[in-house]
Amino acid sequence: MDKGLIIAIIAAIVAVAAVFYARAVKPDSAAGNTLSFGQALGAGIVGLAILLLAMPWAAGAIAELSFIKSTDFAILSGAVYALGILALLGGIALVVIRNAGEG
Amino acid sequence: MTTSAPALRSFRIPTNYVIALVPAAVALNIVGSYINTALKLPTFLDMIGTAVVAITIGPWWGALAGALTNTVNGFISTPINLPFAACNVIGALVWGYGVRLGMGKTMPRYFVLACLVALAVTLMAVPIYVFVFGGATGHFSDMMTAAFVGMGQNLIVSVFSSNIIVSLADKIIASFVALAILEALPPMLTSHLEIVKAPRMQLVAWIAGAIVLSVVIVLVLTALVPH
Repeated sequence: MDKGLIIAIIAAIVAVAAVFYARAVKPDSAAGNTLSFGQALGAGIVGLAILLLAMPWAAGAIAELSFIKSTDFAILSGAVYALGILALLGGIALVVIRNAGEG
Repeated sequence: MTTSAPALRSFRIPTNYVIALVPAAVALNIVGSYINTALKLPTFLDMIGTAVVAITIGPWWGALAGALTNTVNGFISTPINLPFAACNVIGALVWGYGVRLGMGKTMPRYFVLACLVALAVTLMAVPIYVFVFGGATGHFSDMMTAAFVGMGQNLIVSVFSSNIIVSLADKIIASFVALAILEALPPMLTSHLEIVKAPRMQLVAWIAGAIVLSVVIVLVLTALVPH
């Protein structure tokens, strides 16, 4: 069976199970068991960092595809610029919420 | 409850909801992306989960879900998905902040928000298409790009024109399917938001209408492009 199909089936099961879990679970609103906007921002920046770490491998793999005209260096540098803009936005948002006394 | 920026910052999400929703969003995006690839649809369908998370628990949780979606898709499907994570992240930010700025109060406003998401994602995608990939990634929209280039447009305008058509249809579908999923979630997750609430059948009608409109947009604009 196709690897992508197996992963899609597993993903569908995870998605459905997670929605049922979210409907059934009792929210624990104690301060220690909640997450703030600042922590969400931190998690978003961690996601961007994971992407940046994976980009050198991806640039090499993409450059080997037959219909791609670009070189691996151009792919890597272009992707780093795009992701860098988002890291910049995250940093600005962090500065703004710190100034607002939150985070 | 108000949806102003301070409310956004002060609203604290229970950890168990985050643990449930972020992986669910990534899984939903992967399933959508797989269905899109398998059926060779002229859309992407990889941002429905991102929209749900960005609207309910916040734009930066949506950004995390978007980044993780493209990372996982990059490893299991094709590495071309990785640079486009920037599009998924920017979509999450526009959906999340848009709803918190009052763009989800009524159906027309929510529709405009979907169009704004499409525009923002396209503005992010065009430089990636042109400067990272040289204009083609193997997606359906490449045919339209080639047609526009053949008509004498330069590459950037051609990529923008083809991508905005596909993106508009995709984000309208994603926004309204996300709205249906929001109805199924616990009220605690949506009670702090001013998001449009529709009776079940009316909601189904809106979603069906949005999907039909998206299909019509793609079909009409595809027909207008000479092959």
